[in-house]
Amino acid sequence: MTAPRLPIAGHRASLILAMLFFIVSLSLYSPLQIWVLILSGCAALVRVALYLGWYNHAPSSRTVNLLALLCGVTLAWFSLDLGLLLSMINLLVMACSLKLMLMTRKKDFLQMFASSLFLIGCGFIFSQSMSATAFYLAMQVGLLVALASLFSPGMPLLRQLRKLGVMSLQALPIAIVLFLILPQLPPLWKMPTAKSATTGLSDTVTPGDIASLSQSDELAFNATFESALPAAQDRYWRAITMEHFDGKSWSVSDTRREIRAQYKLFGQEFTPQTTGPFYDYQVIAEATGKSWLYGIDVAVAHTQASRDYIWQSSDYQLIASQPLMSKRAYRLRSFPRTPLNQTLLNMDTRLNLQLPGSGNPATREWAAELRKQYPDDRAFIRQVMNFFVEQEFRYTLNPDPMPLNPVDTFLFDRQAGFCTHYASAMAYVLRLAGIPARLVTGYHGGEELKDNVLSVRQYDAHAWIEAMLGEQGWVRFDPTSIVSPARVSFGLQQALEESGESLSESPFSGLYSLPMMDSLRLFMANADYLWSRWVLGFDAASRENLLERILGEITLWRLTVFFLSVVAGIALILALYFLPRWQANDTTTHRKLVNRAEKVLVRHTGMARNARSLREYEKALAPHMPNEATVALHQIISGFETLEYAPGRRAHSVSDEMKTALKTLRRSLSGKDGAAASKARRG
Amino acid sequence: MRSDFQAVIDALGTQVIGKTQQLKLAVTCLLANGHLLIEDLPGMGKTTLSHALASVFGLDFSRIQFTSDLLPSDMLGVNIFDSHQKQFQFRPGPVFNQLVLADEINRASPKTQSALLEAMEEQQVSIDGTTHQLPSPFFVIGTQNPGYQSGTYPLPESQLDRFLMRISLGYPGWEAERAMLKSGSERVKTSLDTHIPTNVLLEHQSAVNDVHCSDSVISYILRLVVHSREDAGYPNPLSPRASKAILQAARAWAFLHDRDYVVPEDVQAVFTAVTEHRLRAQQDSHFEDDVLSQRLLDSVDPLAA
Repeated sequence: MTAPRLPIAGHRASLILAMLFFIVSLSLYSPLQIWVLILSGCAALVRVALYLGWYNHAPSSRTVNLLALLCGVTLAWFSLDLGLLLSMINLLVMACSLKLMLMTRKKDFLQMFASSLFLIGCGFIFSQSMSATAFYLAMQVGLLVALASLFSPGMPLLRQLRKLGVMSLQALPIAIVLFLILPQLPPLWKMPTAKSATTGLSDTVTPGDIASLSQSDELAFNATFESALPAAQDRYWRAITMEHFDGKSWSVSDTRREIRAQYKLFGQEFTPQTTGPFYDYQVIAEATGKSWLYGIDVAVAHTQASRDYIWQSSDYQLIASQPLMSKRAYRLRSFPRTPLNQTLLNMDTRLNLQLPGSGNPATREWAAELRKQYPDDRAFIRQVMNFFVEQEFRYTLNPDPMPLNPVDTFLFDRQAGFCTHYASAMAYVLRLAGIPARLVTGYHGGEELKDNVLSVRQYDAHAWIEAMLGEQGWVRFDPTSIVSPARVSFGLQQALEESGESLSESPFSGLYSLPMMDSLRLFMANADYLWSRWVLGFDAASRENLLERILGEITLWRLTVFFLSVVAGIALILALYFLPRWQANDTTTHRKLVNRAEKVLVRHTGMARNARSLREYEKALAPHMPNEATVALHQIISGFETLEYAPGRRAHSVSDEMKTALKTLRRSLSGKDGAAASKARRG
Repeated sequence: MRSDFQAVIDALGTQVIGKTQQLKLAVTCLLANGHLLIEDLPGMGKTTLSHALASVFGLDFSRIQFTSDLLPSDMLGVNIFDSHQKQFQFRPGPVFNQLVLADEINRASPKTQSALLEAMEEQQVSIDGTTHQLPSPFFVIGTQNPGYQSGTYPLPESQLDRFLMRISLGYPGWEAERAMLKSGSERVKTSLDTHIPTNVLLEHQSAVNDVHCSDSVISYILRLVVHSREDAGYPNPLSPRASKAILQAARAWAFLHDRDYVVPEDVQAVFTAVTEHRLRAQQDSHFEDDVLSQRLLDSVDPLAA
């Protein structure tokens, strides 16, 4: 049996589907190859041409097969570069485009519909922002409209939209309950690593780098505190510790990487002993494509889900189990008073005394001299800090480039720069003096989005140093705070204003100077934050909280009862909706018998009755069935007709005959062996 | 199939070759006491069929050729002053016959058309205040050329509705036409014997009304008409008169097949003939690619409760 053909010219459903498919493909422009996009555009064009009647038949399957072969080869060629996930998405869009060109039957349409839904799901891999969600929701409604116009082509568009709106509203409560209640499964595949552009801090810092970040007002992360916010000058968000210095740039030490790898290999993790006061907060980090996370001072994962997600390195750095390809929420508990002194001190000392072999002679000399004067570590450090003050260093985001002996140039010549310059120079000087020191990059500060919520943007990027002072362990020093106290107390904007630097190229100028635009920006940031916090950030812990609020104390049996009652509730609602139909369907015995016979026949022949009458159905089936089955079917149908349509005759004998016939039908359709066996038994 | 009607169909089949289905529908229409509309190109055997039907059932036959200048009185009859008796005498027109062939009905002016249609509906004719009863059975076969032919006044929807069925004979098959050509000269027109006399036909017509129609068949018919009203894909939804017509035709079809109850297959068999001319908008009646009634049948499950 062939599936019903779709009309070609003027078929609205196909056109809507094609357009939506193309728009969804366009929204996936970043993971898609350009030629795949062009292909999907061509497919949409083919549908438009068919709709307008420029052509009255779809391209021949031979043409499309050839095209498929070419595309397949091309995709295979690129797939090595693309990695599994991206290849698969490209493949999906490619296959859908080809199918769209060939879509002539209802079956094809339904396949396209399902694939487009899946494609929308794929879209969420790459963007989960509020606007993306609204966009994809609109696409989904559009797809439903296409489906509805397939099944009721005569219905006007407005009526269809209204009907779909009502149905979607009915489905909404169920969707919300399921979202809140159902446990979230871990992702089926991992995101490809480092294939897409990364933003934010980088693994290597050359003084001058963060300057470009400071021009960006993109969000880095939002933090929601459960108690009051920490004081402005204490908001040091550690992200990366850099322990290798080559004279110009700081980077993560290779030895440190190896240590981490070994730890991970043995499934071990550094667990800091924590003391003193603490505060809890949730961080919603924006996608970076990298795996470091942000936390204040000594931070430990607070919930089980976060513990699974975060791995702590022995340099107190938080590392995500997967790169942040999308927004991610995690919960931390910070202990600002806990000293950072529980690490492999020997190893740390050795790593953090590493020096480049040559370069910066003036600094070397100066450091050696100063060290002679101040053999005490603390005194020495104080003296270095004093140096920055006495020499009237200047804070600027536009320092002159310092290509040769950068530390020499910075300390004794230019004496102007920003955080990385100060931190880098100071860490280098300390190392020269035999004090283990390292550069830490991260963020400092943050804008108060609302009560207890800090919004940290890329221009809050900062660098400071940590020096090891005997038993105290790693102690934070921020030379920038000496030079430009405003930077630390009030943020970058204030610091720049004080240094008299023009704000023309800073993100605060222009539009945001208008008060309305500023409040609009705040509103958008707020909405985005709420979305991230309540929808994207809804994780196992939030679910647990919610359940606790509903159930009180969570016990296994309460949980079981709750789940069962929710499921039962949903089932009840659905049953109330569907029960009248079921009831009506199955009132009488002979109806049941015919329904059963239909099921058997569909299973055997694959031909559904649809809206055909029984006699017609029988006629269509006859050539595909053994004789015995045909006779039995005829008996069933005759019996049904007698009982259902004829007047006055409601004999039980007829339905008994039907039952027997149904048995015969089943037996003869269940295979040749069955039929043979039954014959043998009779014989 | 009842044997007496099988004989009727066979006899008709000698005149109109290879169109058994249409012949059965025509006989069903007669049994259901409804009027028949045959729409076809000229020369397809519309007139032959009417002649044959008249002779098979032994009905008085008259033929009215509709033209644009035909007046209602030409058809219904006139009062003529009889100078002997000094009073008006009614001269019945050709419509006072049991089987009236209204040939090319869509060539007449709307006034004449509606006069005939009124007679069809009321089975009586009023002239100058006197009501004259039409004979019983009264069966009108209207024929019309497809609407796009020149010089036609298409029947309005309200008047199409009066015809129980519309059939279309269509070109004969290769074999049928060959047989027709070969037998050409031997064929004598209207030479059929009467197979079922008129009084028996009347009995049969009343027997059709006794054919049992179960609730599930009635609900099937209701679902069909309601679907045509709810789905905007049908420009002219089916009226209650249409649902009555479906039921009556299905009963006649069941009777023709020697059954005393209606099954959904009966409804389906007569459905296109009964409803297609009611469903379809007039303007595109020649646009036959998509049979609306068939689409309607396909979208309603006869077994659903």
